[in-house]
Formats: sequence, structure tokens, C-alpha cells
Amino acid sequence: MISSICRSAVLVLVISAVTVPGAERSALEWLDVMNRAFRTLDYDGVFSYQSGAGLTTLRLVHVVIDGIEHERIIHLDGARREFVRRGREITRILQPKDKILELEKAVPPTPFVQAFSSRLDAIGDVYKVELNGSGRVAGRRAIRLRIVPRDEDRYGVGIWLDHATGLLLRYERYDLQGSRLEGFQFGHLTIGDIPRTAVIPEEHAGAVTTKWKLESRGEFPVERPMHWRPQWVPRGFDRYRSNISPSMRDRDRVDATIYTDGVATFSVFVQAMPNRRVVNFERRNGATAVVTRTLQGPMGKNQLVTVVGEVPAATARKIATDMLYLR
Amino acid sequence: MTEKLSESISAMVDDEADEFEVRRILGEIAGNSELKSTWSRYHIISSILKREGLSGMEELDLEDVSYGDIGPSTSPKTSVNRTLKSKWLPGRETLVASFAAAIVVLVIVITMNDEGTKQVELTDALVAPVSTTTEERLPEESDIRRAEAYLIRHAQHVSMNSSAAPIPFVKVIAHETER
Repeated sequence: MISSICRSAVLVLVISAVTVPGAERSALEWLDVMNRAFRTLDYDGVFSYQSGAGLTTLRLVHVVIDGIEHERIIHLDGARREFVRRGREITRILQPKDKILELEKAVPPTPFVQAFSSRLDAIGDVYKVELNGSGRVAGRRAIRLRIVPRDEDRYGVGIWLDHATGLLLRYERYDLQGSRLEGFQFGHLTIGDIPRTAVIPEEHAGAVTTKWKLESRGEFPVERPMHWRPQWVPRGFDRYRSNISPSMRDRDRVDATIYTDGVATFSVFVQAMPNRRVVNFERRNGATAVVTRTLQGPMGKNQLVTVVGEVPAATARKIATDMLYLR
Repeated sequence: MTEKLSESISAMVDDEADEFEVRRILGEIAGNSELKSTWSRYHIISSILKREGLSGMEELDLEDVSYGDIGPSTSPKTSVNRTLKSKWLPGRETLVASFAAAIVVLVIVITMNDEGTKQVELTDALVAPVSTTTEERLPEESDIRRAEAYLIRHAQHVSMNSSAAPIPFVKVIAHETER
């Protein structure tokens, strides 16, 4: 109760602090508008997504028909991929040799477009959320926000929202030195008056089409008990869920736990090492760090601990090397 | 470290120490990190000279020893004694193999008792004793594939979390688009 009161007080303070005289909304109010705009507006646009050295362009269509969300997302470069969602029905259209076919259940069982954060009340504890002037994206007037981390265990974020509707037009994540790690930006966007035909998938010969309903995907199983947990996680990161998705293969049982601070997320995977090789592996893909360490578990058996998340590599490393085994 | 103890460790590694001396040396090593390091060094040299290398270490049934003799309430001394008496001293294996297994048990317990010692360091010492530059090695294909699979699963997690990224879905389907 006390922590709830404190958190509410912090929220009030944060909202008060970021309210700019003369502005129609505070920064947090803009984020709330953005969350709703994603799911309720009709729009059709082309955007680029950059992560590290990678750059890809996609078309996104979102139309609400008779209260049911219809979405369509199409790759415009590289491998030809198309995903269509109608309510809870998803259709995946890929080329026969697409590598993504090999990835079991590689499509998240969620709407294509997600809210930025469902934990706005907690963000103020670890980030400073503030309005950052105005701008112009895809020919539209934009409100700029910035989310500045209060410590070195998380990245900063810049956001451009459509002034008229609150729709997200541009988003960037920065490292501690201010360099851009990943970004998303509409180049062309139409909001409203989107024809229903825009969400009908294109026919192309030889494509592999897969359909399923979200309910039947079984992606939200009962949580299995976790034997491993980090002894340390950065302040503000709470455990969100454990073991929520099946293992990649039956023989590779993997314990997985997700932590989030409302803006950044990291996953901790633990699996038994099938042989005695020691793996110390580090990679960064845009804003996402991957750190694998070999630790010795009970009975002298090696365990691979992998931390993957939008956190600095040093933070991921610290989490991966300081694990606790619970019987 | 006395010269005599150093010689005793050398004798043990070279298969020239008797049971009593082995017990005494193990007891000394248990309380002395410098001796532990010396044993590790001698064993590596011995392995190289005998062309055992890592594959030789892997052939030892170390997992069984560790599994059976290390429990949460087992003291270091008990572990070593039980290991030496019940399984490894009857002479079914070479003494080098026996010592290696016994020391593995011992070092595990010692390291678990050392405050501030990371278990990952222990693993390095036991599993890849000749590789002190593990992080500089090129990753194997399986490591890269594992990392990619985890990247995808993490993106799924972010998506299910309904937070943290505006279009987490794109992170998944943008995977390896160039071909």
C-alpha cells in the first residue's frame, strides 16, 4: 500500500514536472494517447526499421472493420514476407525457402503493432520523461518526447508522435553516448479513409501460406517453476513472466524469464550444456545485446546462461555472470 | 609453498605417489589456492606431454563422480575421502585419471567455499584448462545459431509483454531478410 502511494506520488510528480506550460498534454499523457492510437486508428504507411547495420522497409496497414482489427504487414525489400491479421486469425505468406520457416513459432502471437508501454506509472522511477519540442515526420507535424535513463543500466529513447492523432511516427533508441542503436520511421503515411481492400493479401505463385488462430498457438502455457534466477538485476526491472514459451526443440529444455522496466526488456535463458565446451559469447544486434556464459550448476553440470535484451552489454554481462540456483 | 609439497604434487600428477601421500596432498591443496593453481599447472603440462589434451579429460567419467559425491551438505573433506575410498582407488583406472577426478571434486568444493570466486572461473579451470583465452576464440556455428534463436525468442517475449518497443513484431520478421 505504501509503495503504491509512493508510486502514485512519483507519477504525479513526474507528470507535473514534464508538463510544459501552454502544451495541451504532458509527456506521459502523450504516451497514453499513442498507446490507444495504435489500435483504434485506420492507417496505411511505409516505414523503415534500422537496427545496427541492418535496414529494412515495410508497409503497414491497420483498419478497424466492424470493431475487429485488421492488420497487414509486408516486407518491401529482401525476402518477400507478408503477414495478415484479422482479429485473432493470422495468415503468414512466405517464399518456400525462407529461413524464417525453420524458426519454430517465429511469429509473436500478438497484434503486429503494440503499445509502447503498459507501465507508464513505473517509468518515472528510472527514466525522466519529457517533451522535447516539435518536428516533422512523413510530411506531418510531430510532437517530440524523450525518455532519458536515470542510470547506466538502460538506454534512452526518442519519440515523434503525430500532433493530430498521437500515432507514433518515429522512434529511436540511443546508447549511453547518444549514438543511435535502432530506429523506426514512417516515410509515407495516410491516416483515415483506408479502403478495406488494403488489408487483403496479394496472391503470389509458389508462396507458402500458413494460417492459425492465436488461441490455438499455445503460447501462453502455465508457467513452469524456474530453478535459476539472477542475483542482481538493474533497479526498476521486475520479473514479468517465466517459462512462457515452449523450448525451441523438445530435447533442449530452456528456462526463460522476462524482466522489464516498462521501456526496456531483457530475457534470461538457461539451458544445460550438452558437452563440456565452455561458451563465452557476446554479440550486439542494434540495441539488443546477447551475452552467453557457462556456469557450473548443481552436480557439476555446466549450464549455459544467455541474457538477451535492450540493455548495455556491461549490464547483460553482469546479469549473466551472477546467477543463483534454487532447488 | 614448500619445495617438498611442490615435488609431491608433481609425483602425484606423474602417477608416483602412494595413497597416503595423495590424501595428504589433497588436504593441503584444499586450504591453499596457490597449491591448487600449481596442481592445475602441473596437470596441464603432464596432459600435454602425454598428448591427453582436452579429449583425454573428457573421457574421464567426471560427471558421475560429481553427481554422486557432491551435495549441499557434503563437506570438502568428506567428498574427497568418499571419492578416494569408494570409487577411484581400487585401481580400475589409471592413477592420473583417478587423481584428476578426485581433484575435480575437490576443486569444485574448494571453489564453492571461496568467497567471491565465480563459478564460471571454476568451469574454465576444469573443463578447458588449457584455454585461458576462451573469449577471444571465434564462436562456433552452433553458438551463432543459438544466439539467433534466442534473439527471436526475446523478440517474442517483448511482443507478448505488450511493452518496451513500438513494433516488436518487426524485430522478428525482419530477421535475415537479405538473401
